[in-house]
Amino acid sequence: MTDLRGVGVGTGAVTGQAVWLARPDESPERDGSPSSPDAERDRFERARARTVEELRDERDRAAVAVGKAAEEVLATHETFLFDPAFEERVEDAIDDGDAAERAVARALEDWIESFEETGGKTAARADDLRDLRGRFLRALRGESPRSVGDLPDGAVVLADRLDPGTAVRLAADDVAGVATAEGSRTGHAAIVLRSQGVPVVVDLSEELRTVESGARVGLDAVAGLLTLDPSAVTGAGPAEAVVADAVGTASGTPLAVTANVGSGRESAVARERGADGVGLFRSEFLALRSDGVPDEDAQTEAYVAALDRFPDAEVAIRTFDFGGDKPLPDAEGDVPRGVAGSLATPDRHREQLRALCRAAARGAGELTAVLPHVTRLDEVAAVRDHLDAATDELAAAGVPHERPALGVMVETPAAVELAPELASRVASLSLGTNDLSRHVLGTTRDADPAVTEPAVVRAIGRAVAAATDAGVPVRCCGEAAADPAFAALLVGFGVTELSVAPDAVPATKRRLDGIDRSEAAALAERATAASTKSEVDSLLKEAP
Amino acid sequence: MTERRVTVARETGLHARPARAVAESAADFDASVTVEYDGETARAASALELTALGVRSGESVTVRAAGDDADRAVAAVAAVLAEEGDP
Repeated sequence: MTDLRGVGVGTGAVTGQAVWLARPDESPERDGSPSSPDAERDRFERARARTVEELRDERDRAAVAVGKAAEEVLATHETFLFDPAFEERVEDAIDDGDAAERAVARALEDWIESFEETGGKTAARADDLRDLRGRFLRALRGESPRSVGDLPDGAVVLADRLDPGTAVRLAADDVAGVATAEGSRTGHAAIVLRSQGVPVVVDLSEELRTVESGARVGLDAVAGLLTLDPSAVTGAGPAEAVVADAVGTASGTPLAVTANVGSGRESAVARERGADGVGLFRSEFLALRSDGVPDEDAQTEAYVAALDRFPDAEVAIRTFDFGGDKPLPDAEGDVPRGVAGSLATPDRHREQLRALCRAAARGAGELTAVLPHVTRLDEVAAVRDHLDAATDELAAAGVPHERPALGVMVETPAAVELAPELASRVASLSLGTNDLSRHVLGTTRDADPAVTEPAVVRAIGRAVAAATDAGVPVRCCGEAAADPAFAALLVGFGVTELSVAPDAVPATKRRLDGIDRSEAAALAERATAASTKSEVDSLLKEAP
Repeated sequence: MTERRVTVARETGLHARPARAVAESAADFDASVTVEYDGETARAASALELTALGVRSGESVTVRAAGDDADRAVAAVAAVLAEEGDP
């Protein structure tokens, strides 16, 4: 065989070494006969407590490494463990003399069959129950959680079917791609992997078994194809296929995937993960991590460390953004947010600008200073005056320096309104989608406002359009940039740089490489016309 | 006995995560709440039974409850079912 056809999930095409996952041992049998119903009930309760502990632990780790989709899946698993219908069936079986293993396996098997008979999306939920059955049986046997083993870098993982828990571990392990004999595109395993930008092909049939571990394969999620002729897929080697050096749209427009960092060390991690630069260096983290604002020399060193990691790229350093949920240590009274806070403390602001100018001259990369929480054009003018003064001081003192490019964050409705004027005054705009959503919707910080609310989508569209008209590049450095569907929408609007957490760089690169710009633009147009959040959410499910 | 007919608005229908939201809401009441669809009845407190109903988005179900807080329980469960978007 050279080609197998299945159902593709997500986007992207990769080549790599095929690795079969071992089949889980789902046998409910155990040595010896069951003890009394009371003893079996105790064993059931102990195993359930252990499974809950395992799920919670995994959920915490998944929340960080994989994100919300994985966290939700594991929370649902926990609900099923305490479901009254499940408890009744286990109780009845144990009363009838079954061992806990058989009682649990049978109860879940009944539900698995029932879900599959119902069909549709309900059938896809049967894999959640298989996952639970595996966890429960391991807990009863006293075994450790199943490991996905040592996978070679850039592996294309093959499995008969994939349970959501294993998908969470694979997603965190950064595999190149996944192919399964069975499964559905609406299964939780597929959703988790898709959310991480991992290309997946499911439902490849029993024929998948003819592919041996170690074989070089190509996997194309768009075409729903697994092939033993990898050159037919990309022609790229495995390393390039995993994280392309440079990504772009299908028509060849370059896209940059950069990283959000808070220190020089994090810049190094970002570099390792394949970031194309730093899209957001949160300079206030230098102060929040220590006792206070570092002096000019210490700041210069931190900025140079980041610039040296990206000798051929841009590093966007945001000036201090204290206030709100990031109060300056030892600050007295209310400090205004963002650039207003900097202008209210002119000595400290001047010191930071001097550090940025010195770093721009010393560091290898190209420095852009980005002003946070801009609400007035005057603020940009005032910073320019301070920058003039800072460069004059450095010149007078004979200190090598270079004037950095200036950018602004668009994270307030005021900045959206002023976007055309701002774009004509600076070198780049940065969308801060977290704050922008909150301010557009008028919600508090902990309300977790949705970026897919139409008012937010339209605000983003207007800001990007204003920048595009002015010929100024726009980056997005909010959490939304790491969401695969939302990333497509941003590209559709005209965003050319997505700055994400260092760990999300490979997945975002895979997600965006080869994206169809005209399809993304059509998506953006429809999303702008949508009048409810659920309409926007539905549209995003069709993201190219 | 309180009864209310409600259309499931969740885009994904009543599967797993939305079922979990319904079960969590039903757990707040003493009344025993049921959801009937296409001749099958599920306990609102059981996400497994709710998921097995296989209710798709836009389809109608009947919520019933008996007991002291039946009215409030039916209202709460119906509200979760009628909510748009995924939880």
